[in-house]
Amino acid sequence: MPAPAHDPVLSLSGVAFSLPAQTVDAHTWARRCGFPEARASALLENGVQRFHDAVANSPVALACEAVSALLERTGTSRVSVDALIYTHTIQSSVMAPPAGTAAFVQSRMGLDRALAFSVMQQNCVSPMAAIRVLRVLTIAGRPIQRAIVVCADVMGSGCDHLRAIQDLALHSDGACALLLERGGGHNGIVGLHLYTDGRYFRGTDDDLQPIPDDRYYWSAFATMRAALRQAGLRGSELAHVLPHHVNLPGWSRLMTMLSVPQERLYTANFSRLGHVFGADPFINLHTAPRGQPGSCSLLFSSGLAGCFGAMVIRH
Amino acid sequence: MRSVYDDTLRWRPEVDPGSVHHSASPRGTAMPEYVACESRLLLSDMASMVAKETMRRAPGKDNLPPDQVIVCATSFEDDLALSCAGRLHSELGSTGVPFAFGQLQGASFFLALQMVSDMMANDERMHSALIVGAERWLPPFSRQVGALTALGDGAAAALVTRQVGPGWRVLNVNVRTPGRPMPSPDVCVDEPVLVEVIGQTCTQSALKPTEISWVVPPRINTTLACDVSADARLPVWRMWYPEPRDIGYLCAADALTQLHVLLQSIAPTDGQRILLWATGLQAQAACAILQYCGS
Repeated sequence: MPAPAHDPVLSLSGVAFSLPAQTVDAHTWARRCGFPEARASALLENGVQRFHDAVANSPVALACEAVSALLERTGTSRVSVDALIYTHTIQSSVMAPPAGTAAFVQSRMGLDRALAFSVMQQNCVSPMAAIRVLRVLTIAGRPIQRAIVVCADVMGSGCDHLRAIQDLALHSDGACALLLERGGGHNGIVGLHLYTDGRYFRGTDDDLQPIPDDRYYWSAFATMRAALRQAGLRGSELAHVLPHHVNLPGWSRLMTMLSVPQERLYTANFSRLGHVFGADPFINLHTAPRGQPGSCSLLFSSGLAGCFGAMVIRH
Repeated sequence: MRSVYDDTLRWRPEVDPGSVHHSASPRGTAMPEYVACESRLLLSDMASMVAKETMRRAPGKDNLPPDQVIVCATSFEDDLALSCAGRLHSELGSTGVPFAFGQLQGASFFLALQMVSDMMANDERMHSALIVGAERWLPPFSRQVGALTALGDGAAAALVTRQVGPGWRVLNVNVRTPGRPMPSPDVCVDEPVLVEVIGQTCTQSALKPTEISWVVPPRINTTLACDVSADARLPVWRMWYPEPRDIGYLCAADALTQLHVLLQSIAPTDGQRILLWATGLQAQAACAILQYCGS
């Protein structure tokens, strides 16, 4: 395997997530929303079985649970965290402004030294956009050794019927916290590429349904290819592809386009978790069999408003 | 939409809505008396207008789009899935991936400025970035922030370029978000931290506070602006604080607006300096110093 082109600036040292205990299957969801059974059947045919339901309870509470689990699991000292970035897809996945959600999580978690803010409007790619922001600040010599990015989203009251992305996914409520550390420890980030197709900035149509993207496959492929090139890798050299939980049939096509053997697509969480907004690829990194030291995996997200992001990590 | 907004209100911990923590005297009489209310335009409509106007006024004949767009906002876009940063990216034809900073309120612009400076330092292909701040407050969200201030609607933008010619150079920017002992959404302004951050920015720029030509505080509360500027030993007689009571506090758009109005009304000479400082509503503190280079 050729060596990655660049030494990593940041490593993804830890992942923890929090999902509400209640799960809802596709048939129950279709029934309670008044959709025909055929809608549930179509979802099931595309590998979508269920989602986690917070019943419109707070995404901020889920974020705190995820950060708390991350700190505990990694043994990270709270005073050693230099930055905390809160991200979300749904703009209302925060406490009512001008109340400060990032400040609240910072305070509740005792991250007193952290620079706390949010990165948003990249929707499900916002966690990767936050990592990019951290990378810029780190390269510039800002005093950031260790940072936490947390993404959290909950479908709001009255929005249950909007959970589906066509028949390709069901949004799942949840939060995921990432520990980023300066330098190239295990899971060094050796490729990170984002792309935004400006045509879709509105995100949804008048009926609040996602606007179909006629260039989805090309944009997704080109974004992943760019991240692989940064890492100096060919698709065939990847240990795993860690996808977002949207459009499982389409992933087969993307794997072919990337020249990655189909069995390297990690799908164990696709049906059982649902699409946890920006958290999917990171949850997959956490639960997938650990790659051999030196091997690489590719993480991918895309979101409403034409957002695409891909990241390559070296185990 | 209303049900979603109500969720966000429900998610806030129980708190006295009038509670404001700060270390000085009551400021009720120093609050804005009126606030600007936009009844027609969306937040991103206002952002789009100021972004296009800023690009139209940009010096140079080539009229190239900015390499990067960064939006600063606290309030919600009424179109819940719309990305304001994505809209500006689309309309202006910028090349970099657009995004927004939030949760810093008045300090947002300063983090964006720091980010842009770092991006330009790291990437010589990046020549320009547009920072846009916009706010629009809709029911059920209150415009009243305790006894501290009242929130107005508005937008402003600044084009930051890598240029050699005449213009304002960014000397230093600092943003700090001190942790609070109690998790509470109460409004909190930490004056000692603000004074510290202002002092740190002056020191990093090798400047004494008295060497500042214009002091630009947030237009949040007259007493607070005077107290902090005085405590930081800034020359308060050089404070830029026009008509403080007529538009309200523009939060993430405030510093950009203040800077825009100031630059419209002065004719700087070589070496003159502007110091801007800002507070968030959860004790965030920020400061930047710009210096005019006439040649």
